[in-house]
Amino acid sequence: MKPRIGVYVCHCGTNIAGVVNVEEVTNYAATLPDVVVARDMMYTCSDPGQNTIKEDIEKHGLNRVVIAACSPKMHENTFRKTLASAGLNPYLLEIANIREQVSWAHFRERDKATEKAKVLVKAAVAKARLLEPLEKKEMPVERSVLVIGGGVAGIQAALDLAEAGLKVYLVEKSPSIGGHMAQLNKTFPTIDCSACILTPKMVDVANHPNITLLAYSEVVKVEGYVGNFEATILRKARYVDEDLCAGCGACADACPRKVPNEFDVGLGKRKAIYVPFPQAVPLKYTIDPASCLYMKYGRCKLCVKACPRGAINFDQKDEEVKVRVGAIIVAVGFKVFDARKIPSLGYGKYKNVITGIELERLSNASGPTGGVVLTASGERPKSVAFIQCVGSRDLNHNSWCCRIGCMATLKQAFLIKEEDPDAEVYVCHIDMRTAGKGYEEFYRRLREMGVRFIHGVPSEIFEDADGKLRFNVFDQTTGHMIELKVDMVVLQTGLEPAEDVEKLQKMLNVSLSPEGFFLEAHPKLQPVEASTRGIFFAGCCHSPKDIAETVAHASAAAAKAITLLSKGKVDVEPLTASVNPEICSGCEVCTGICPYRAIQLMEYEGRRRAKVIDVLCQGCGACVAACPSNAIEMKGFTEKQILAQIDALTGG
Amino acid sequence: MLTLNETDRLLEELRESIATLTPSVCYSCARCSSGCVMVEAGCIPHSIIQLFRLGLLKETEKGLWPCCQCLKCDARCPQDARPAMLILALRNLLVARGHAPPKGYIVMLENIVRHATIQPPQEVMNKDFDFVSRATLGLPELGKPTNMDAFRRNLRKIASNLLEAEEK
Repeated sequence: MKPRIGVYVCHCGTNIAGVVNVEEVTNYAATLPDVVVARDMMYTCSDPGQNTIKEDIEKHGLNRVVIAACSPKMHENTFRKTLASAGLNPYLLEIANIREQVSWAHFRERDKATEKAKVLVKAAVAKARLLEPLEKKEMPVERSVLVIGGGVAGIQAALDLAEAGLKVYLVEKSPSIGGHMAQLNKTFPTIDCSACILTPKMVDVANHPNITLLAYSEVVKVEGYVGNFEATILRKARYVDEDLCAGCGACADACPRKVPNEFDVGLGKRKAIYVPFPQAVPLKYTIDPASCLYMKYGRCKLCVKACPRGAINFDQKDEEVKVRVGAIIVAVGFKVFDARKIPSLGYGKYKNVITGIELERLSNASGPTGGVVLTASGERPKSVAFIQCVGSRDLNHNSWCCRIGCMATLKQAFLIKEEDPDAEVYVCHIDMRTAGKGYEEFYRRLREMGVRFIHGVPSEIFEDADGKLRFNVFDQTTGHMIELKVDMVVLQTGLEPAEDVEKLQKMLNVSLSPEGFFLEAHPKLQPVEASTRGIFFAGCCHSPKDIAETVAHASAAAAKAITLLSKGKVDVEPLTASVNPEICSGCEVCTGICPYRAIQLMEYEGRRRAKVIDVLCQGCGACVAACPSNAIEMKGFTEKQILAQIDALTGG
Repeated sequence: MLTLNETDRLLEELRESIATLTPSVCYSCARCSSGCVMVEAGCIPHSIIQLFRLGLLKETEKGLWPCCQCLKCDARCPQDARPAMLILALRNLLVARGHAPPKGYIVMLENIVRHATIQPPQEVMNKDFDFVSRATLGLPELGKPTNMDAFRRNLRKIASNLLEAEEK
């Protein structure tokens, strides 16, 4: 069919027309081969703009449309729908970007800008003449979701998904779900008990018929693509039969071996057979093989004698299970900055220099001191100084703001003042950042309670002979150097990416930001989606967040997964690569180069030939460029089409 | 330097004469000082609040007397921390502890009694700190109470009322 092309040159208000002579470009477009109609429009994306295109398609029998406007990232989909609603295949559309690439870039050179716009329109028309109709495909999806990480983000996402009727596999690497939130004492700014609001959700997870909880397990392999992932999960041996263990704790009572409890950040002790904290879910005991006397030395087994249900099984082996899921939500959280990296602040050297998370455990009723904050010598501190932004907003360590340190300090200062109104509490800060509902009010409340805020942070902390900590801090408000002597220093350490992030990044084929957090598809408009379809992020693995933000983010990720899977099928973009098996030599250059692992070798007439899995292909074109036999073509960007474009651009 | 608890106790004491002292809520935005006409003379309201809160009482002294109690800072404070009230309270404290206010301050008070203004009304201080008469600069005469005797009587009345109130 002979091409009949309509060209629409957009003013975009003054965004384009303020620089480019739109009328001149339109008149020029009308002279190009096969162009039947050329118009300029104030706002092509508006309803009247789209209606004009539809009318022209009908009236002039257009079978190709060229739009010279903003980036295709903005409105390509809009105009594809316009074409479709006029009965034209939506892929018979070509966009010339004369806003980002012309008017915004060359606003000081109007004449040259107009010339460049003309050439881009010419190239677009040259390509449009060769466009072919393409059809979207549909693929069935698994109505189930893998949630990686059982902190509050994973818990919230799992519950939302399960309530929507999807099957959920919640994988948590430690023996219990709960994450960092389970370690906290109170939450800001309401001073709600953290466990009191979290544990009901944990129990819901355990009881929900749609959730399979795989605690003490790790995802080791993920294959497949949106709608059809297959994940391999390693279930680590607890050496305790989960079905038999009733969580009575007789084993731990009998166990003679005490080791530092990770859950108490090493401040408290646990046994070699343990649950990390009393409200653990699942409430199943786990033997830590590195500390168990029997597993190390072959003698003991006191737990076996103590267990009334015969649940202990030293022969248990790690197991692999495979699950098929349609989407994956990554919610692996964060880790806390190691304050030893800044030795001048004395953490690890002076016993009464502690971190914020340690103070959480000390002030928590289930913590090592039964909820009483005590110094190393076992006394209640009469004076405490908080040091903000330790390791955060620091180009030597973490460049970013941890986002929760200011509020965490205010909350902890509140707890100290509440316990002992006479305690002297100082907060040495860079800025106090208290953006959030009710947060600024909480900050004022702390000032009213008599907490002293010093605008400035110390650079070095010393311990005096009497065990007190002494430091200088320059108070910017008064211009005075203040010397403080306190019983306890709390370093408010920042958040950084979890250890598993890089492993998961490779496994899931997703991107990381320069800071090492997972990178979303769009910072404003797709804050939970990975650039790989079917994968979503929830919580602090994406960027530091407080609990309220984490829960909102997790619910958003769940909603996106539900949206994706609710139709039971996914659309597959037709703009994919395809291999001509007649030409392909099976050299495998493309399989290695494909960043989406979308190319596999398949049997074709008795020989091994490359084949593109359409659902996985993102249309990046890397394989097309790499193929030494020229056997791969990109639909919508064929060699012929691109050469025509280049010829037009270079004056051919 | 006072300990924080000593500072808190002192604040309670000061509240007995000025109930509306709320320096603890200040977050040091410095809006008070940015608009203060006496900053150049050493009165930096937000800094006085912070010095007080940190127990550096002695360091506040320099800034207390230049304050002319125009109350702009109190009016503009976004947290209602009332720097001017603290300054007033700290001045009272100094006097109660036997520190005399600066000499110029007494001269100003005498001028009020004499002329109803803090400096002789028909004089202007120039850049070299010399007093020149307004007339030599071609400035109009300033008004003053037409009945100075009545003005002084009223001043006395105010002062005695204050004293009575204090005695009670």
